[in-house]
Amino acid sequence: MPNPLLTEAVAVYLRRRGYVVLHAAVALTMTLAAVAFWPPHGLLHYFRTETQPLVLHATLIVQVVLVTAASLTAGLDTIAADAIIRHSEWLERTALPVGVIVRGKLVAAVIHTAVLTLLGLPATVVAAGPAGSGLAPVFVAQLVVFGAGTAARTTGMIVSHYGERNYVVRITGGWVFLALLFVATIIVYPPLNPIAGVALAPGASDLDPILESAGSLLAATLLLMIWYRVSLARHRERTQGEVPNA
Amino acid sequence: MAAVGLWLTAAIVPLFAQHALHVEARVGFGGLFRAGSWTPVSVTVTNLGADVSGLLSLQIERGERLGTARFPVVYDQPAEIARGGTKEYSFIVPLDTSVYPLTVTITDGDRADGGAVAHTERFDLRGRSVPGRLALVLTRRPELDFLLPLYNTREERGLELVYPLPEHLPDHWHGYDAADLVVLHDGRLHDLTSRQVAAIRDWVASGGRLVVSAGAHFGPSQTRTLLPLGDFTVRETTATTTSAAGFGEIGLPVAEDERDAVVVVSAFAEHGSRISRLSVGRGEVVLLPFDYAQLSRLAPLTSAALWSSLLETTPADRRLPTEVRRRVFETDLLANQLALPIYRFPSRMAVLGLLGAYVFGLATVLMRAASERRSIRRPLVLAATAAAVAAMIAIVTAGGHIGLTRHMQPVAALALGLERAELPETGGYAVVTRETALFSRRAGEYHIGYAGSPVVLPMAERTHHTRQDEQTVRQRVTVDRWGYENTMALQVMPFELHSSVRSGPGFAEVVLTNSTDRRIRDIVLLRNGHPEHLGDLDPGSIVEHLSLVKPDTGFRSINWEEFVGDDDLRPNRARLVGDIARRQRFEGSAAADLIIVGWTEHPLLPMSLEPAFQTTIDLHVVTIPMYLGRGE
Repeated sequence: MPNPLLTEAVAVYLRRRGYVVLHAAVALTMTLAAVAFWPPHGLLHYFRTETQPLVLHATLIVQVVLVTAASLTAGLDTIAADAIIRHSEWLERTALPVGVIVRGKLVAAVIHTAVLTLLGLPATVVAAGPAGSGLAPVFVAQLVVFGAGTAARTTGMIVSHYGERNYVVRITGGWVFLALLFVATIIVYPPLNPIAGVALAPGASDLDPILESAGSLLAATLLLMIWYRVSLARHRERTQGEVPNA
Repeated sequence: MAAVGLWLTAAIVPLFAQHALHVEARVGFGGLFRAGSWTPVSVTVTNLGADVSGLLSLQIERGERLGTARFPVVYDQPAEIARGGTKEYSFIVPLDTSVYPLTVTITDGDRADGGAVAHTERFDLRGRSVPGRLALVLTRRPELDFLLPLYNTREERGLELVYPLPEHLPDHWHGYDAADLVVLHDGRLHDLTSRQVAAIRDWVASGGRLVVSAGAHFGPSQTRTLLPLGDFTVRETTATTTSAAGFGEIGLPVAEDERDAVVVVSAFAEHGSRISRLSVGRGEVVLLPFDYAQLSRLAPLTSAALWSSLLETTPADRRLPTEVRRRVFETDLLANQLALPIYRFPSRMAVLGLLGAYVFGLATVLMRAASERRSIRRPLVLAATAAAVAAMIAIVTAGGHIGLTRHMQPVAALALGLERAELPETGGYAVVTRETALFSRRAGEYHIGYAGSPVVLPMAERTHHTRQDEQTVRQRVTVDRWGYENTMALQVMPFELHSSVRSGPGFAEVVLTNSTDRRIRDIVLLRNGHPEHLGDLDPGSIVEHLSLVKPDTGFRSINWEEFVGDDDLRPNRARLVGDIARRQRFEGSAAADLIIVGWTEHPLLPMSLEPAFQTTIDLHVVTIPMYLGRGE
């Protein structure tokens, strides 16, 4: 029997115009990034100046920022808000066990983030040509993007729970997370920084540093998912008392 | 007693049999070197243990420019060091960076099976790289140190002065690669060996600048030592004022209150008692008839201006823009030998079109999925499908592009050598420049394995004959170079071609003699851009060809493939011959009136290279420009 939340999520992601615009915008932005940073010179220019075309660097960085931002926005339930509100009301009334809800939400989050990541893959593959990079580093960099995206998505869901009680958290929580992810990690633990992770990919002959970055982000995501499970249980405790079971 | 004696013998002999080697390394000049230059390295080994018979290996490391991989390059010399002995081993190696240390390893035992490692030591190079100018001064007194505060600040070092001992100077010209200036003063010049003086001469001729400071200390001994550089016989030693020492002739002012300072000058038999600049090949010898140390005390401002001009300019020939054009030209040739897809990237608009089709197709599919009415018309669906197919093609093309650049390159490394002989009007040297580039593409990196430096060769034979209506120049250039120890890539085989050109109005008669043991294939004579096929030239044979002036036919209609052999490399060779002809036609200089392009049957470069380039070299190009004489 399919998870009812997954069924609901598919309906939200595929049927809502807001999500259609989001997916098309991700693919379009990636395309524009690849085109904007496409090398303006031939190989000889880079050969003589001992530089490398930046197109793959730029495309991967745009992708990681874009997927992280889109996932955070989706996690905060600010896309297709009308459907989400009805869904939240249903969530508060439903008698489904917390585990079923958590599984449904997280599986939907993982699949959706993977889809968002894949949408940008063609542009990065095209950009790998002038950069002379192999496909393996590009694909491993997609793991970093995916890890950052799922972390952002899960954080968004957590922030939305706390945000119901605290308006300041709801407004600033996402920004704080982005600041932590993109700035603080450079100081605290660089492998957790997704931009640093994907920047290693162009021309990489050793995949281990990129894999370390992807692994760190996925481990962080796992911790966030456990946190989400706990926060959802508290949310249920809070809401089930107010609304009678259906 | 006997038992005790046996026991002692058994206990003590192994102690003596152990290796006890003490290794010291002298890197560069006074411990300084310039990253990216050929650097002399001297390794002194003292053996306090058992005899060593094996190899002494010097390992340098190069890092990928954009990656993290490191490529070790090892230079070996046989090492036979008896117990109690001290030996010195000299290398000249290309040091790319000061980041990685030098590693000296001494192995003992049979070389065939690698032997046993007797000693390994690493020598840190950090902090030894020279960022600014480097001057080598052979003197007994460090009296040029007054320049240091002028060039160096607390934050930046613009000048390093090294006062090496004569015996520490390299005896191969490329060992001086890092030096901007070599100054010969009152050091023990007679201690210089003839090989060292020849090396300095060849370094100057390749574009270096040597300053010889004479004065009261300069005598017959110095003159004899420097004879290979020129005749510096001193006629007499006199005193003169600074203003009469010849500063004006080299474009330098003399400070007003220093004009009357009296300095001791040597009056040379050939060059007089004024400052002279003597051209040697592409470089110059600056002859100061006075003791620079005395001048710096008597006329400090004038002295500072003199050294500033010597340190901050390069010999005039080095600034010739033709050199730059030549480099670019060669690089273009190099790129032409590579697969075209990486030479020119696909256009930006093509990328926009292909990725745009992908986005359009994606958006249409998403809209259709989101639409509950299912009312999108059939043509739109067809257009979306077509766009999706186009996007798939784009992605497959990109994948193929990567595959081509990474894996379908015929060889991962490719060597191209281009030779040019330039015969200066003043004569004396044929400057043969040879650029050899090993090109490798690994991952995202464009890696030059080696880019050659100019090489200077004395003319072995040169005769001039002038008749009424024709001019003939005979020249013989022997190519045997890159030194003795550049086993990394450039142990070029001896290669001799004798060429003779007899030309007159409307004709040129070319005689080529192949003195090598290699067959030269598909020789093409290019005369003002027009190709003529001379055929193959077997070892020891001669080809004679009479070239008549031909009408100026359409250049674009030439099918260059007719002039090169029929093999797998035919398109590349044809493109190269066309490039050379176009360039010759474009420049149209009389000096490059005739060019012969030939192909050696086997590569001149060795097949075994450093690990990064362990691939077959399939192409070697030799161009030998031949010059029409200008008469005498």
